[in-house]
Amino acid sequence: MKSKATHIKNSNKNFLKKAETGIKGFEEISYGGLPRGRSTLISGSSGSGKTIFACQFLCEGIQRFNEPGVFVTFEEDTSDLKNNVKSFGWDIEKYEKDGMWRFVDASIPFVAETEIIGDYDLAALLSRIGAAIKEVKAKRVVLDSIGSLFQYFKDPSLIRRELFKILSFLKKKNIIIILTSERLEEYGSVSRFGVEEYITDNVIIIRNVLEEEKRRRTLEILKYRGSLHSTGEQSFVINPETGFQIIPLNRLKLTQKSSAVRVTSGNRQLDDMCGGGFFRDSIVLVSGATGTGKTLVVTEFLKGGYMNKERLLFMAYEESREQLTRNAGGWGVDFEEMENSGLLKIEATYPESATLEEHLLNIEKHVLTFRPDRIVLDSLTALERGTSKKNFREFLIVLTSFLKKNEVTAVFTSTSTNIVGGTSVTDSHISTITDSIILLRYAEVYGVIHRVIAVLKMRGSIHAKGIYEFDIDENGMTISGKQFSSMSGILGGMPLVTDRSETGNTTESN
Amino acid sequence: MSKVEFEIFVTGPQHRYTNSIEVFRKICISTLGETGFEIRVIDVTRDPEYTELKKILAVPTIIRLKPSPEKRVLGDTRSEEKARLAFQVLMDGSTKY
Repeated sequence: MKSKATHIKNSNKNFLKKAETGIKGFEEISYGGLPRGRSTLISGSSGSGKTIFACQFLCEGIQRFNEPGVFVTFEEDTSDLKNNVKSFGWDIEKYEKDGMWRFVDASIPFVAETEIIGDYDLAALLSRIGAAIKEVKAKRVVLDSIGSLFQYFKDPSLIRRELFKILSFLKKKNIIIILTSERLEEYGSVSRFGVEEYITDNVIIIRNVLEEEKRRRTLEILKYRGSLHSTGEQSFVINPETGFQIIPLNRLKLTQKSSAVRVTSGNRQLDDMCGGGFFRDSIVLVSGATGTGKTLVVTEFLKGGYMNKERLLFMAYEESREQLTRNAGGWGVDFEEMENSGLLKIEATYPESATLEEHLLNIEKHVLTFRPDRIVLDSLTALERGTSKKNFREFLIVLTSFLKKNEVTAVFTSTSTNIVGGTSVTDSHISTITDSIILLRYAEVYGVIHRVIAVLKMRGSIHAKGIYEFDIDENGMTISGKQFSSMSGILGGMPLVTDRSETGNTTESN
Repeated sequence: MSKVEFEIFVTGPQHRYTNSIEVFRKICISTLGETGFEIRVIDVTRDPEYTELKKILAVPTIIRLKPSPEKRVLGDTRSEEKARLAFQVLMDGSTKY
């Protein structure tokens, strides 16, 4: 009895000793990685990235943790596999030479199709896997993909029993095991043959879903025996340079501390309207119809940073670098000089050139390498095109929390669909995430178009509540000191001329 | 005339398949004659390298190596009926029979 108690104690001690997979973001959503001596099924439709995940799991194991691996392939030819993953920088041939990697080629040989005439078991496969593990002292094993076994041997209960034997053998060696399996639909039964998920401890589903005409890759931990894990689908990308990268959205915590330090918006009158400038590491949304001056506001914001020798990053999704530079020049701001000084970096990208997740990673990459004090993203509307509302909101949450964590002051622009007044769909689901909102609107008075500006929201500060007219000239934006009160209903999109005489600049407290 | 060559992949130190091999051998003798064939038995646990080379997944697998092309059957041949079936499948397509 005593020995049994000790045994239990020991096994508890070793209970779920997790190993880092090395796959970006996976440790976060799985609370530490994958457990040793346990098996995990990766189920996904064709082209969802199962093999890449499995392959990366072994490669990272070798490169980062010095843990040798065995790759049992049931489908793909080993030389094909080697070539396919070379672009990620995984040199399997080298790992083989270094004695860190062994293939077990369990693809069915078609040279001679085997006829099944009687009872059998998979002892030969087990023996081969065992020999490969012994040879490289493997700590990680991949079986890719076990569906072929079911297809070939046509006896699910026997394969289930035999796989169970193989898994028990591997578990005894405390090996981390990944099995992959194909599924036919993105939302349906977990695995094709309906038994795969029952033989493994953990189940992960990866999807490649068509959403609003765009592909979106997600990973979901469906079952993780004995461990907490994030639930729901997590976005991921397959980065051509680094492979799998999961973007954990659900685990973000709102722990950013907000700064009380003010920075200039680049426009003195706008600073005044905001109660003394923007807060550092706050997110400001500039919303307005096309041509109202959103790009001008961000250009001034960059100018303001440049005056203080701050580092500035401009992520442009609507206009080219040349266009932006020309526009800025028209308002007396020299982007070229700012770029030459090394303080400004303009990154102009087509929004359609990548998925939202890839854009996010790209922004993060630039922020982490360039380390800006200020960032401008022009425009959210361009990025939102072709993505679902939910996906976009998640993107914004991750982006804003990332920027705050890195203490970057950010200005996002958003194009409202109505020329005069009205809020767009974009605004409604962005507005809660941003700290401040500046509205730019057209207002028509007796056949003359006026441009007006209002600070709609300024989290944690007093701000001017009025609507002000502004002009644009070669010196940029000039906001009139007088409230634009000859009309009411501008924001609602139904302007009415009021009799009320124009009053002075009134700043009310929040 | 060259001999028919067989390889039988089995497992286990307990000679689990000794009987099956003997039943198959008897069928071979009765059809090909004592000297008309050769059987090589490979224990997959003792020779995983060769098992790997021949890409054997399951046991018992019988391969007819020669005459080429190679032919394979999978399954226990402990009954005479199964052994005969295995033999027929393996020799089917060979010009000799």
